[in-house]
Amino acid sequence: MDDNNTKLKLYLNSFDDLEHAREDIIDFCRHCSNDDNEIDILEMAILEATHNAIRYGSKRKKKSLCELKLYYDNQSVKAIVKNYGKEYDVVEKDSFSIEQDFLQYKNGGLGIPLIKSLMDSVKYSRKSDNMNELIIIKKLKKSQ
Amino acid sequence: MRIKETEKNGVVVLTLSGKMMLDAKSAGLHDYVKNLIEQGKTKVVMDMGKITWFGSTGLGALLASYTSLKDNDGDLKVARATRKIRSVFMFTQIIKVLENYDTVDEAVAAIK
Repeated sequence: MDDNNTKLKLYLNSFDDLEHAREDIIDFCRHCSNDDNEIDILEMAILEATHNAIRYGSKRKKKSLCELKLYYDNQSVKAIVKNYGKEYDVVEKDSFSIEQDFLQYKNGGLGIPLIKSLMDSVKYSRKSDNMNELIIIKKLKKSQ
Repeated sequence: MRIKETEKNGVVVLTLSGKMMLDAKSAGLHDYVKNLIEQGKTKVVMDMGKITWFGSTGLGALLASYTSLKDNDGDLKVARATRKIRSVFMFTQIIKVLENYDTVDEAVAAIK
């Protein structure tokens, strides 16, 4: 996917910011797909990732707690979520299984497994200056 | 998230409304259910028709509540889950254990 296809870029500092940006994110998802279920899935995964980034982000000298970029190229939707803070490389080991003990999630920790179950690709990388980058991709039904 | 408790044919109906996202009140749903269990109330229906925002914390609270009720010979059914919530249930395969019903009455009738 060509990164020049940027469709939406948001800088968020609070849950209120995300609440206000929610309609923009939903509008973006509607622009990408005509399938209601696909739109729902995209919205929920993007909101979950962004919500987590705000919750665990650290502002320090940066201009925002969380940066969200959304791309669409007619084949797939890609969201890049960046924040600054503690490393959370759990993407490789966490996958949700209905057979697992549900109670292990009672205090949280379901965010990444939920995103992984909703999206086709979830990649995490730790950048310099304590930056976390989560890239999630969903292939669109119309392209398959 | 707000919780309203009513009772129907010996089944506790919890009407949930608002956002089931990352906040203490969503996580507190499991504590609420554990309190019901202590009172001997182990058959619960959760009416999710008024949930406006559903995330991983809400999902975790549902799963933990389900497990606690089952461990105490109880049961949990979900009613009126929105399309978005049903999509999450389907993608995570939680639908295999947590059944959703179109109405509260149907969910109450289905409780063992």
